[in-house]
Amino acid sequence: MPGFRRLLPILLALLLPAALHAQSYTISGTVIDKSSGEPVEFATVVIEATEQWAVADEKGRFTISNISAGKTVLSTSCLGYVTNTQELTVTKSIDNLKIKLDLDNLALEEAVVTAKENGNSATTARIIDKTALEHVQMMNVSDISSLLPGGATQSNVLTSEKRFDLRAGGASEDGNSSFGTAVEVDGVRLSNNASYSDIKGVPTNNIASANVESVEVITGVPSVEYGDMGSGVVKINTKKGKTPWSVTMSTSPKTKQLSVSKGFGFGVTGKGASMGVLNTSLEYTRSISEPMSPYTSYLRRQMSLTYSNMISTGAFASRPLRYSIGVTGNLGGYDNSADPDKFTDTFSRQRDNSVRANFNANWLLSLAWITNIEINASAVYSDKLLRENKNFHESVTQVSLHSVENGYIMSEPYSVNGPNGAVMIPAGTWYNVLAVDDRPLTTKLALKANWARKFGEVNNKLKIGGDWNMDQNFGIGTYSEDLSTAPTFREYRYCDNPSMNNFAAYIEDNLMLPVGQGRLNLIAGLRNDNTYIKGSAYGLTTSLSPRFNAKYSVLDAASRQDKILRDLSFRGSWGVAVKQPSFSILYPVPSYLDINVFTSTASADNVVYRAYYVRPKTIEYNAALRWQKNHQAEFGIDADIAGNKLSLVAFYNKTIDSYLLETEYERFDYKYTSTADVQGLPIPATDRIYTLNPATGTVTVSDKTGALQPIEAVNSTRKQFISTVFDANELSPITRCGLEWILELKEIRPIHTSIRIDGNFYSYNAVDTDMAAYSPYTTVGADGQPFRYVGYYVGGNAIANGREARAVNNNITLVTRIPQVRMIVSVKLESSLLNYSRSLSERPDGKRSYRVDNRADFLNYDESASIYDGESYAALFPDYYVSWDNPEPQPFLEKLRWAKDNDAALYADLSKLVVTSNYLYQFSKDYISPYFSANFSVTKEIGDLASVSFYANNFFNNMGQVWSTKTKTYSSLSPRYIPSFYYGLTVRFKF
Amino acid sequence: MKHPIRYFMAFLLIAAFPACGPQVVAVDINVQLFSDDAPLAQEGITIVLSDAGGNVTFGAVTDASGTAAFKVNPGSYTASATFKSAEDGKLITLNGSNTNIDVTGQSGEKFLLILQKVEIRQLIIKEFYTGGCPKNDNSGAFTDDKYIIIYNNSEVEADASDVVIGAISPYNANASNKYFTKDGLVYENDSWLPAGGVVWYFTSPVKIPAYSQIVVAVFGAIDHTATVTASVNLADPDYYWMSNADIPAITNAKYVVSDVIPPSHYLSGYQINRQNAWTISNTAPALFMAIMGKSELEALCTNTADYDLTAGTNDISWAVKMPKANVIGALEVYAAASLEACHPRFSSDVNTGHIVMTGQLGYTIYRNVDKEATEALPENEGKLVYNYSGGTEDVGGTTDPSGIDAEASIAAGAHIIYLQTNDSGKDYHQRRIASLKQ
Repeated sequence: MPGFRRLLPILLALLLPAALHAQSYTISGTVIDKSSGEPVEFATVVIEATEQWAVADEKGRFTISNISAGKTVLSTSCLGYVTNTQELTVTKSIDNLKIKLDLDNLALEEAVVTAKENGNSATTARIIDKTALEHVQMMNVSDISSLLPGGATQSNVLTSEKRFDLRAGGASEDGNSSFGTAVEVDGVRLSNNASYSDIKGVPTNNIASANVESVEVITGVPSVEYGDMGSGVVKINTKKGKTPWSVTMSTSPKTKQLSVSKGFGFGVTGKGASMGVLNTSLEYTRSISEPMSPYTSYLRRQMSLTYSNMISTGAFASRPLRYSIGVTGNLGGYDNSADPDKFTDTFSRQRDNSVRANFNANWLLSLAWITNIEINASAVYSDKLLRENKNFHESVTQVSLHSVENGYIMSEPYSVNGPNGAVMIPAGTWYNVLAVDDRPLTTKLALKANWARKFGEVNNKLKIGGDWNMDQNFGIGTYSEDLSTAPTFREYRYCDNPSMNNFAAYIEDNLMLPVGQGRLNLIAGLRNDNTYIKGSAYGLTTSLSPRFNAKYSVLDAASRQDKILRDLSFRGSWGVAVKQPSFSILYPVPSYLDINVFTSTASADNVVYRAYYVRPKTIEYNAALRWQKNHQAEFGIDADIAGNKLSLVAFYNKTIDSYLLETEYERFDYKYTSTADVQGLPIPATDRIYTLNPATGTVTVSDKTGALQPIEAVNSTRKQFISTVFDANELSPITRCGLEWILELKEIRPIHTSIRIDGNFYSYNAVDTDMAAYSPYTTVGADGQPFRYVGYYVGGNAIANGREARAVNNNITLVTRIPQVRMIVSVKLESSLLNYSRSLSERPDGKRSYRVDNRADFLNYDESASIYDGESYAALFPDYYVSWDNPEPQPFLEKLRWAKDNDAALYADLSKLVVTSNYLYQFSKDYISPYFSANFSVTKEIGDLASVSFYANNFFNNMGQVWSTKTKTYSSLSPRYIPSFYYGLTVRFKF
Repeated sequence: MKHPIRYFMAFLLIAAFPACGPQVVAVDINVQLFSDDAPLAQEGITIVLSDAGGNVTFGAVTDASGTAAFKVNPGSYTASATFKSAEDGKLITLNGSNTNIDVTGQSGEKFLLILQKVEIRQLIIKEFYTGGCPKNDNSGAFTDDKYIIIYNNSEVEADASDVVIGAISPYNANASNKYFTKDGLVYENDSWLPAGGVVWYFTSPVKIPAYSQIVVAVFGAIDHTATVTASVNLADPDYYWMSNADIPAITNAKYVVSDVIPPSHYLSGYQINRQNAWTISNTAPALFMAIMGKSELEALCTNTADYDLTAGTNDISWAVKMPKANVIGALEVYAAASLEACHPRFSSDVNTGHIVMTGQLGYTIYRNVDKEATEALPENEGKLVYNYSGGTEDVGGTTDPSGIDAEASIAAGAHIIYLQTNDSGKDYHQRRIASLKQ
């Protein structure tokens, strides 16, 4: 941080002169529909430089006060209209400004059905607007990932969870990249922090897709306003404002959707005050996994209500207050209970219910020392109850363990003793419903103040804010609806764990100044996060996230429309983002080692007594746990050459301290009573009662008739290692870098067709070098006793501890617009030109794996040979090991070599810690041959009343194969690499 | 009566010259059994001595030293003997003849009768029920009721104490098999077979009477019919059980044993691979039976330095090199549902061919009857039951071509000799119902 400390005084020196007060003016006017001349109520007019705004009233009138003199850009937008941007030179107050808005439809020459660069952003941000969303007919908002540079179309069914995962290569990569992608709907952060099941990003299945107005994807370094993220922000905006009835019907072989929305305007009061607008939306979407068996389904039933209004009368006349309050509810989820292929009465149902509520207020103060103040409050409550009804069958009595206490326990019939730690379930067939109650709640309160001033030609915006967010889970975890027949599970009440609170404060300055013909935009910000977990050993954790953006627009684009080089800009960003942990890291669901220490013989009615030693596998607190960080940097060039737009951006992401769970072992011994040791006892088998001393583990056999004295069964001591789990950080960074390009060629006028080429180069490299312990559990030592050695490996005991990958994807999209008939047709050729990966086995201080010709002869390796030089087997040895009897670390290889000649038993045991590769091609380079897929989409508007869209993905039904240079085999393209042929139709009515 | 003229001519010679030359005097000779380059001290074996013309035969029984005494006239004779014996669990036929018994007239001459051993497997895998059967509510297959029947296919009591049972890797014939290449099995010409999982052995002496069997329960030695009516009752005091009691890592709850089975009937095993239960296939196993002493077995199974690691990583897919010479039974089963993906796991010198099985329907793999040998047993007169209808040929399976209903015949008191061709496809058929179900 020393660099930032040096920069801060410079920043402040730039800003302090802003205390000087300048002359201010007023802009007022009317927003009207260009074609009809009707006023456009609720149109928002914004001074871009200072973010001063106004909302047009029922007559389209607006007024913005306290505007500084000089050039300024005025942006006017309203749902259903194309955003109007115009530059004004303010030398005095402006009255009666007429702003004419074009209806946003396919009659326009410039309708866009791809992702657009956000030219106002100093970092990489792309916007997918309504036209593009309707054209692509998304059912899951994450489907829009295919519109990003190099994005590939994926299967669009909802029966499997989908997530955003920006600038990453998928779930097989380290670093929890999807977990670091922040998703917001109308400013409401959707969080997966309170999840106990995984370290992944929030699923997007329950976000209604039909009511989305636009999506902005920030893949670069976002404002410090955004915390708790690592690799990008996805901002989903739903439809707002006074809108006509909109009915959308979509169908595809796997998904049906019906949605209705309407924005009701309530007019004005007698005093002329706006009564606001209520946006309503209803959506019903049902998706099935397989058309041939349309019974396993995902259902989304969503209703959304948002009321928004502006107070601009009376005391608020010159300082209007805009606010909105909204609530969205979703009922639905996954259900396979109707599937006739499943056994009778078995099912799996998982709710995906949620309620999102938000309140937003923006008060335009336009004071000398503060421009506006904004408050956001939101809460997201989800109900993800999973219920699974399973059929069980056992030919002897079975034991379900529910004990969470450390120690011995003997099974007891539920019918005799009721609930107990080791329930004996009678032999036979039964059903049981096991449920997991998961109810996360995320709440957020944010306060932000903006101070925007213009100093001559210099615009400055200072943003200061703070937010508090809290994650909690009200679920009770796993439970059974019938404990007498429930399978083994342990109660772990999520709701008993404390909430995670994060308090953040940030400051960011955004400076725009003219340099030469162009402008220079500098943004510097610092965010401070303080995560507090009450009652947890982690206590308070503080982290800092500095971020910088710079963009230099070399040319004045507006004045160069007749030049070859019309626009040119450079941008660069660097920043740090901190990702809070999930509850699966903070409070991992405890697991238990249940050691079967005794099994009786079976009686004539198949009753078997079993005893266990229950050993909770402690989730150890790691005082050294650090919050996962992402260092991002990027550099981009944007140019307009004779109407051909080029965007190039290179990025570099480094994830450090990524979260993971690691294992340690501790020595343990217990008493074991063999079946044979009780079988021959004189007490007749039919008269036996088995009891267990919970302290000593001794089994006593009693005669229920009382004829014979109780007998303590002989037992033996077994020694073994048992594992424990602790939170940890991955020591080695995970690096991702790449290049993204977009080339939008100037439209070929005679055929109304434009060509867009977008793609990306992506490179990933990760090597885990954490020292990790491993001891096989389901094996025995050379002495026939439990295995009693633990090996310590650099990067764990997998033969590969890392992976490198590179990919080049390129898409060519032809878009033909026929404004005369209000139709747009697009054909997109998606191609994978490079798909390379290779397993790695590396360590910073030498070789981790050795090349061996014969896996049985793993000690005979060539020190100088590399595992990467052609095909070979590889052997991995632990650095050292400990044994149950000797906790002192022993050098592994040295001892193994010695044991081979001197101690066969030790050699046999240590050999089980040696890891050899399964395949000769384990570390071979894997190039997947290039492959292609083509998508076709068409949208046609029928007047202003209706529109129809049709798409066919992989419409050539490419069912080819790709060649793997690693396995030297062909494999089918679909559905692993490209989606199967798929199509859909959407009809929309507006009235 | 084959050569009446010879008898007549001999009579004429004797009658024509009764007083010519010296009188012939019979002398004592001894014939000693000899085998494996050493005298064979086998008492009670009948040695037959016949003259060169085969006109005169003498019989004498060996004493404790394996010697039989004869009193014969000088001349050329042929001595022969044949008998069956058990050796290392294998039925041995010792057979030999000596055509050079030239008796010169000197009393006390000693001749050797060298015997050759012809091995016949005394113990065979009669049945392997592994595919399971439908549960009562048809919610799936029940496969915890597996059992193996070891049968004494001879008239001599068998010692099964050193029998070991295991499976060849991989445990499914249709699984990816690193031992099988385009050139066939990589160990085809080696002296071993890769045995994985667990190698089981008897913990107490086991004797199997002639034409009798023992049942070895694999997972649950209990009455499975209590909960699955299509299953079998394995709670029988005569049955054996593959016990997990002394194998700490084999912790699967399916290992249970009935009160009625004594600990002496518990098998134990050496765990070769990482697992919590013996991974014996439900549909396509390669089961073997071998004879090996306890110390030899322990050395084989605990010396990982001699393991074969061809199949996999760590000890997940390691295999012990089971010597082919010790293997006395092999059963190769292919899964009907994935026949094309199946590959052999026994080298051709141990087993050729395979039997196809459909799992989960209660079918079992049952040995075919050696019709000729069985019918040749005089004690079977009137006891053999024909018109066997227990096969599955009507549902695309197989049946016993002998036509003898082995189980019905045994119930009628017959002794069954099962077929031994070392070809699982010829030796076995898919039986509709497990034999213990009857």
